[in-house]
Amino acid sequence: MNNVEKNHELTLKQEKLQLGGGVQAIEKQKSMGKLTARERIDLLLDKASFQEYDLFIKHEAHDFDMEKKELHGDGVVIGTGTVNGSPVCVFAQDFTVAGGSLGLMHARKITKIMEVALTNRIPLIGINDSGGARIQEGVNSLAGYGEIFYLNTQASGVIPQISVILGPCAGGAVYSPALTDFVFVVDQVSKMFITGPEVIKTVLGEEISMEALGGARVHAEITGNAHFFSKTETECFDTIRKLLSMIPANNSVKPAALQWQEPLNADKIAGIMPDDPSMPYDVREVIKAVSDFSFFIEVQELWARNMVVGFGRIAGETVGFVANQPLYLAGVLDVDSSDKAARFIRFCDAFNIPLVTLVDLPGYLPGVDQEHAGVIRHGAKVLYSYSEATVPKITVILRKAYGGGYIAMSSRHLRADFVFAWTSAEIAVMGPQGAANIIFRKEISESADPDATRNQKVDEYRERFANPYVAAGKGYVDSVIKPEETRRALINALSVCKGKSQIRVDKKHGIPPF
Amino acid sequence: MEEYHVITTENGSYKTKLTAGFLKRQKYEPVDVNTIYALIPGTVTEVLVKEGDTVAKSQQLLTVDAMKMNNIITSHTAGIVKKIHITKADKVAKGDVLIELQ
Repeated sequence: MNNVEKNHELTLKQEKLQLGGGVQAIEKQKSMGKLTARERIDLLLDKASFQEYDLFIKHEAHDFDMEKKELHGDGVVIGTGTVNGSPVCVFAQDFTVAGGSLGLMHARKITKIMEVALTNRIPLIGINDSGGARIQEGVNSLAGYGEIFYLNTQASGVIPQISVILGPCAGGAVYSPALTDFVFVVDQVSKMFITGPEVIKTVLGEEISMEALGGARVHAEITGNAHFFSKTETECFDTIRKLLSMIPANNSVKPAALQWQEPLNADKIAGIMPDDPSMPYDVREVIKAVSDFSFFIEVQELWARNMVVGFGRIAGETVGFVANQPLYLAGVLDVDSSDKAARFIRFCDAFNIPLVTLVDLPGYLPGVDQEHAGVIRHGAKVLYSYSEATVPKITVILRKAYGGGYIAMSSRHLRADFVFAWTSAEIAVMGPQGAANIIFRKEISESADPDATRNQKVDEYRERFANPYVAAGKGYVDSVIKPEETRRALINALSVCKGKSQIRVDKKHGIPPF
Repeated sequence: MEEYHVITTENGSYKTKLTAGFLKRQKYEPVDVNTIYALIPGTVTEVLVKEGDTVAKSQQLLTVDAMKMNNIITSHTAGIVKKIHITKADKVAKGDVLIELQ
């Protein structure tokens, strides 16, 4: 063979291997409403930026006649490329090859690209579409999963790790996504569970479909395992590219600052807060009114909607917003909303993203289910994450900030750098109704008209204590502002905190109330 | 369009929408120690008491083969066996009442 022929031979080999499980298997993949591994990589990466590795890998299955089978690429595609011009590492399981099952070499390819990401401090995106462990490879496939989980954990807090679930991801396989920072799911495509419908039917006699047990919507709305829900794969990859534009490549750099513009609806901020303190509003309107371009990318939008978390930019720099959402459950803290906030705060802290907290909550959700689900333990995570975070922490108290909720939501006492309060703020040990009932219990019960006395006492309490000035008088609120001054105040505070350096207490690591 | 509801906390009542998680909440029911339910489906392998028997707390009442295990079901409380709903070799579904005490 001369060199021209050798090059031609390479092209032929590549073409064959890149076809994965072959034309028929690809057709089957399409009929399930799914794109192929390579199409997915193309949607994720900048055009023609993909450099593939380990195309020629051979599998290590020697039993059950597997040695006679060829599994192209061993069912996974790995490589590097760029997103928005910045390098990333990617792997995509190929369901057309033996159902994307994970054998030893399949796992080695994944851990190889994970090591590249970790060594070079660039984001890792994993696309999951796999039937699970390759049973024929026995304990070797378990070893493979274990190696992946270990590296996920080592990389945690060093590089952003994104998991995209585009097919089944069941049993032990779910734990790699669960260890990563952001999990993306697509309607009708993603399926995640530990034990599937078959096992549940056999063991418990309960019938449930895959979609109802662990479909995209379930993980986006009920379990909180997913962070982003999309209707189509195309929309999903578009969102990943947007997310990557907002977060840094690793924990030692800042996200790229952008040229910025004023929010599109800055003038609307004054009209958002209702005069009646029992009425709801959408706190995302406040976020959009202070963010550059009014752009906000919300994380876990559909889960625990009483807490809003996500990324925006203020004067060009990425910030993480954490906000109680009065539109849902009056913005209370509960098990799920505590978990949601705590995890997001830790991501921001790990990746040098300043936190902007918007406070409006009437405390914790009462209920046996909440107490028995461990709201003490879960609520403690919010206190822990805020106290632990050393990034700039700016708080704006919009309205209600009562009791433990006031302390938990990035109060001065947990070392917020600056605390602002709107004129509508009510910072008190309890809400006026609860407090009046306790403080004036005797007067109310002995009154000729208890209801009238109660209302009078509630009004008195509200007048005296449910305002920002008591806390401001003690220095717990640094500045009382009008809503339309919020963006200016945030820009100012964030610029003051740019060089923030806080010495941490020396320890191996803390023990957050997981 | 989602509807507005009223949520009440110790601090007051507020107009608001509900979350998917909130809608899935189950109302609290106190544990009924006098009724023995099947926690998983299985086959009754042995009934160790008969109606009218006096049983002590933690006494073995029956065994159920489920999840490849022979599970021993014991009494949560001392009492008298009021009614036995199953016999040996019966297949039981999750949630079935097996034995009632009084």
